[in-house]
Amino acid sequence: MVNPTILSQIQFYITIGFHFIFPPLSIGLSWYIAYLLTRYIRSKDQYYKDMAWFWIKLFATTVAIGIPTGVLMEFQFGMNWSEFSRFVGEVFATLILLEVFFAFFLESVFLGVILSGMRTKKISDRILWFSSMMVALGTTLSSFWILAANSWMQTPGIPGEPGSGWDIVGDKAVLTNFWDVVFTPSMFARFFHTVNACLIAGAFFIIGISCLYLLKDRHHKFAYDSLRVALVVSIALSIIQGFFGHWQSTIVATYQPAKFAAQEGLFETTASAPLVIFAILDDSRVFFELGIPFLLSFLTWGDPNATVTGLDAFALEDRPSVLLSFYPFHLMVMIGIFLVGVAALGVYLLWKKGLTDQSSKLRKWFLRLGVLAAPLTLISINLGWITAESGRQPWIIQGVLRTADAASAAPGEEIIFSLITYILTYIVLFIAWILVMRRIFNKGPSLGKIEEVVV
Amino acid sequence: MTALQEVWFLFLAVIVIVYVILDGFDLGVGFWFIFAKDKHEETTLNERKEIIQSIAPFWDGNEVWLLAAGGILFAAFSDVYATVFSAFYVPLILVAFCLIIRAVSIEFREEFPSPTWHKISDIAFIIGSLGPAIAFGVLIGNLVQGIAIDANKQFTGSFIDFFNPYAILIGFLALSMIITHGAVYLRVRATDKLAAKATQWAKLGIISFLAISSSSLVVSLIFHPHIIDNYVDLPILVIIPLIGFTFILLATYFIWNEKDAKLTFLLSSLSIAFSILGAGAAIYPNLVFSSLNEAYSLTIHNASATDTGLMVMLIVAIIALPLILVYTLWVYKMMGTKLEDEDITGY
Ligand code: HDD
Ligand code: HEM
Ligand code: HEM
Repeated sequence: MVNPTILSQIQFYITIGFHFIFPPLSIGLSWYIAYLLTRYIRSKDQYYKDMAWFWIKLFATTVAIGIPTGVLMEFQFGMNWSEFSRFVGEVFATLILLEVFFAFFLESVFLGVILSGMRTKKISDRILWFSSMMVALGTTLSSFWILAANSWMQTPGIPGEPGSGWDIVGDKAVLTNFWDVVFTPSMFARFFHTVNACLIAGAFFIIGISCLYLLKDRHHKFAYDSLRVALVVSIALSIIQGFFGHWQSTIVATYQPAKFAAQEGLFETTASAPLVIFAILDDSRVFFELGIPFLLSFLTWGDPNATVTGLDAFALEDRPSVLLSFYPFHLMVMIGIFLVGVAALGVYLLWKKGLTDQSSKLRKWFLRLGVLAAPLTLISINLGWITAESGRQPWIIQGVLRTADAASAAPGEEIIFSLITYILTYIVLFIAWILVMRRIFNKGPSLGKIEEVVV
Repeated sequence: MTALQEVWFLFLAVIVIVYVILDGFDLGVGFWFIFAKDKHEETTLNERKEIIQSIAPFWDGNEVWLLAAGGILFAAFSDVYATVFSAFYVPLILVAFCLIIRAVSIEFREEFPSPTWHKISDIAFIIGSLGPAIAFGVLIGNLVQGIAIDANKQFTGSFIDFFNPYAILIGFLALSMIITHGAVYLRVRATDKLAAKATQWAKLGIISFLAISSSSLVVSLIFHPHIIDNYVDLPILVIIPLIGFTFILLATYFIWNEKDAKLTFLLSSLSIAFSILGAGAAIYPNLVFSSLNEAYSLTIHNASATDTGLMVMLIVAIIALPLILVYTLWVYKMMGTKLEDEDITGY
């Protein structure tokens, strides 16, 4: 029989990876919708409200899957990771409880107002606007608390030491200082990097849809207006993302050196370490690598000659998988650079007025790349998580609890059953999501037709 | 032993009550959905469309009370959360599955006008609504009669054990409770035509509820007499089930004589609240009985977080709950008005 821990890990990978396609889009789009409705309230120009309805429809489709897949995640801690749950409840679940109390309620209750308003169109403009703000706030608060919980698992500090905020008494983790547990060393970097990633995902989703309309020669005004905002936002945020990522890296290097070595593909502790750009490697060695000399040492410690800890500093059983850290990490960064490129090209065209010039070859290229960038952003978000989570292995709580000791005693057969159930369900859900989006896309935004009933 | 554990036991009961009252009606309407007509056309006479419309603004917010109950178990009584959730692995996988297909069927039903899609979506909505209701009843039935928990707070049985006659009876009890509640809700919100039907449905519901609840009471007393230990020790507690009983009778009277819909809904909610409180008073201080040895049962004393943790959570709850109640009630007031024919849009 396959090891239940491995099965639970696979299941966690699949279920969270799937869930995490939708929240970033919800977060990004919810702020854009709130922005459009704010403009509408200010200018009373029906055009903005019509634009907002179009994105609300796509947003609704996305949250419809984001919500129930998230509910499953909430069950899974106890179902698959019961020993983890038993141990951490008081510390970790307090953060989850905060997420429920301060984020999920807000988001869900006001989501109901927007979605029903979308169908019956009976709610007033102010309430619509207010609800959109509450939903945007709710989604963002939700990410704050879940990321605080995750950050605690990544950088929990040493139990019992002042500043860690928690201790181990008997066989349980106990709270000693709530705020220390919320604001662990990796919390801020993780929050900014991830929420920025979500906003980028929203912006590139808008870019993708707009580019697709232009490629199909439809809804020009709508597409240009959407592009103008999304491009300016995306160029700024995707450049900033590199800096947030760098901040993350220095924190990883300080608090999780084994993860850092794995994500950089550094097997031996090295002075004046090069930054590896590309490599062929497996979990035990490097076959080929291409790097920039001194750069890793410089980026990490601000000194080109500094020593960077390699995997050899850790016992074999304490090392994460290099394969699952190095490649996801490098792919994420490459996609990040690609996104800056796409956004820059778009802004250039915008500036040179080339975006409306139908004969321009560059324009055609930009439109294609813009469509490609949307799914790549979501992939990059998942790659980031895979880096963060598999780099933490073999620990589920860094330095405190091993993943192997965290799993439930649930028999492997039951997990195989649930795994198959979820893989099949998620395939169907994903197809349904694409089909509904395609339908909404094909119908297009109904600009100026105020009384059009949404079906 | 501190009062904080008692406070959290009470809080848990309150959250469960709100969950059952709120999600109870939106799951409950799923049963009547079976008997509602769908014309597959864009017409105001489509009852299925109307039922979905009646719960559309609320179902998601209602479900969050389930997350709150789970979150409280996880944070305040983590041993219970860990033991129960891993023991009920297969049933909970199915519950989560039901909740997933249900959410999608509510939100995507109107996206495609095809009759085939409506059939699939409607089946998903029905299974997705009734599955969790029955499963939660079965779960509670098992927790009351005891599951195989050993000295290490580990479950040592198999999930097959959960499907025993007593637990299944409690599953149907839960079902009959929420379908009545769902019909009572439809009377408040639905257009006149459907509300008239719902009035008849509520009568069927309350009959089934009275029959199942009285038989499960008898069965419980015969086979699980430990549930009255607390009442014997402290007879004053009997007042809780007595109040509950009074509300059930009143609700029955109101349903039977087709009295004011809103008041009936209130009575139905109060019946639920006091039934759950009565059950809570019966099991206190246990949360899960062990069928192996009474000493292994998980109680609010041996399974709880420390006082520091409980205090932090209490502060959080005291700040958050009033806020949540205020905006939830506001939204209910705004969106919960009686539906008119022209509100029923879509397919
Ligand atoms: C960065 C943001 C983020 C991250 C890392 C996660 N989620 Fe999520 N989650 C959201 C952001 C979000 C959201 C944007 O707030 C969602 C998506 C759709 C929605 O309505 O809310 C959501 C929905 C959502 C729901 C449904 C809430 C409702 O009923 O309204 C639950 C229970 C969870 N999530 C639970 C989890 C768990 C247990 C996670 C990790 C293990 C997790 N989420 C990762
Ligand atoms: C441009 C260069 C980028 C750098 C240098 C960078 C750096 C990092 C680092 C070091 C981590 C690991 C954190 C950890 O191990 O805990 C990380 C995680 C992550 N990255 Fe990036 N990143 C970049 C771009 C992106 C882009 C473009 C996205 C998505 C749009 C993204 C999304 C994420 C996410 C969601 C995580 C996981 C959450 C976390 O642990 O913070 N990153 N990133
Ligand atoms: C507070 C929130 C989170 C908790 C409590 C959490 C906890 C866990 C647990 C219990 C596991 C399984 C054991 C393990 O392999 O480490 C895991 C693995 C994993 N999680 Fe998270 N996680 C959280 C957030 C996330 C999020 C939001 C993602 C994003 C998509 C994510 C991605 C992953 C991945 C990809 C794995 C598999 C890693 C591996 O098997 O090596 N996690 N995490």
